[in-house]
Amino acid sequence: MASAVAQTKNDQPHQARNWAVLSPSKFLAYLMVALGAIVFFLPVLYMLSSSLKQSNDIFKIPFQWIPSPFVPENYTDAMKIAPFGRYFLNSLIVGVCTTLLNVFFAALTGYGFAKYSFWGKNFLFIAILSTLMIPFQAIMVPLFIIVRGFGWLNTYLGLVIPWAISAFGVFLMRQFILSIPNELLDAARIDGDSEFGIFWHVILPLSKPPLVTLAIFTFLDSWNNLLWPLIIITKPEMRTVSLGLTEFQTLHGTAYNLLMAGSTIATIPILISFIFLQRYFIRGVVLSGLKG
Amino acid sequence: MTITTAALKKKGLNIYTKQRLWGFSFVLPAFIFFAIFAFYPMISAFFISFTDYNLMNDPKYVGLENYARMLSDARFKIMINNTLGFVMGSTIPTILLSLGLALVLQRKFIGRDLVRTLYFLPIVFSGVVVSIVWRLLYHPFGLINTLLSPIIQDSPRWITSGDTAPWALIILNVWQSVGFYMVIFIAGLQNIPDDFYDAARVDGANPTQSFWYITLPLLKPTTLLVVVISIINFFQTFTYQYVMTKGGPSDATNVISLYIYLNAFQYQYMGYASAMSIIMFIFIMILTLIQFWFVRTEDITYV
Repeated sequence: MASAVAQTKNDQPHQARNWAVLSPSKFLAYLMVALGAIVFFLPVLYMLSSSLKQSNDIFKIPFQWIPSPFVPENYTDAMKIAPFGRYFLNSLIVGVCTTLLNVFFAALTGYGFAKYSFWGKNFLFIAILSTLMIPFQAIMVPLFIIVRGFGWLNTYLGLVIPWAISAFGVFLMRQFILSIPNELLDAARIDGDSEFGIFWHVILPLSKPPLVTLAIFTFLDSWNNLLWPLIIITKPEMRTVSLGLTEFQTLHGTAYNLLMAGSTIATIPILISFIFLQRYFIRGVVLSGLKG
Repeated sequence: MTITTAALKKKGLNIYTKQRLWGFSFVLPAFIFFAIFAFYPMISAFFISFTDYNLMNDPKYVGLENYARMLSDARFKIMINNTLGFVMGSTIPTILLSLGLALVLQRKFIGRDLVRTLYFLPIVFSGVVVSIVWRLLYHPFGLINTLLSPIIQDSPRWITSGDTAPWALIILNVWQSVGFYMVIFIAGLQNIPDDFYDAARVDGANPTQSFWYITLPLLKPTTLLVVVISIINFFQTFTYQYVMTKGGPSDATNVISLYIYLNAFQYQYMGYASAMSIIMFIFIMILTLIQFWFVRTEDITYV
């Protein structure tokens, strides 16, 4: 698995020779793929464009990609109708907390499984791994009952804690930490580092690449999650962006320009992080191919 | 930390026992977490599935009634049909498209990275956002019908008609999923060692032969893996249906996840919802076991 990750960055030298023989059919294939990419991008452009239009310009024929008049007020209007700022803040708090917990516990648990031997280790590892087989829908009713029992309905705790550790993250980190040489740990031990100190000073810094990938995907999942907030959040001020947007659509389903503005707001942080961290996004997909 | 060490030494624990305790204590929080938030709920769901339960009253044991009800529930059959239709309708085009794209996009050409990015981009959008945007795209006077109007006389009604709505959701799903599987295919292609192609070329094979006799057979594990993952993912589809169509018109796009949600949290049939979720769990479990098995075979390198 680690090798698959390492290799995504490299390009295959054997492909280079295909350059010389660009037949018409190949050229056609490239052209179609490139045109397809533009078609794939149109919905995103459509969202942006419609978010800046007057509501009756959205269905205007012929269709205008560049809004005229330009109505950036849609964004402030949308914010007036629904507290997107608050939703945004909620999602951010939930996303950041979930991500930090996941990163810490995935690394710690992965470290325990990779570098120590203790009684019942394999059993515990397989038990944790087996939770990957549980679809969320299968446990959402009892999970709701548990969270209600803890008094966590309509709270950040309720939104964060059930997602604090992912079996996939544990698996990912165990695989990675296995490849860290034991000599490094022993050296730290000789220097008088405690076992947790080794985790903190040696393992965590070395595990940065997979942790960044895990962090991105955890944040993305948290930010985009709809079903769980839908179940446990009833107070408007506790809504996440996904839930807030869904409720907004239920109430103002035909205010398309405002809906598009809200959708754009909901997408901005993800889009910005994607632009800067694209490499990690793609690496994460390759890894999560193992997750499903 | 030295205090702990000293304390342990006093108790007479040797270094190996200490190490074991450390290792155990590192994995213990996670195990407790999964016990509370995964194992217990799973067992609990199993028990609830044999009861009549809503949040107002205590659960009442009803035996296999909830399971029997699935067999007689005409709506449940519709959900199963719709879900399987969505899964099959999405999986086949998604895989063909993502494989085709991977084959083209693994080669170097000007602007390749941009093209890859554009195909990948839909993944990062939330299901809610794309559902809202595509609802507008599918509007009777939306962009899609505007673009189609010169070609097609009768504009499709997309999500407002029971005949076209399932396809509308499949198209949306394929659009959002292709980039994901494309990346997995590209990684699979890059795992095939160059030596194989070099050897084939020395033996006089042309690119087409290389493709049929090297690329495709060696891509088989990746393809099987992608098929299983996509089935698992698509089977659990919820957000598009909830946000875009609410399962309508008249259940035409209602799927099993949405039906479980509705039964549990709208109709208050938590027992029935749990019974359905147990069936869903068994289905996903079998698929995941197949996936684990593929991953294991995947790990074998070709060299």
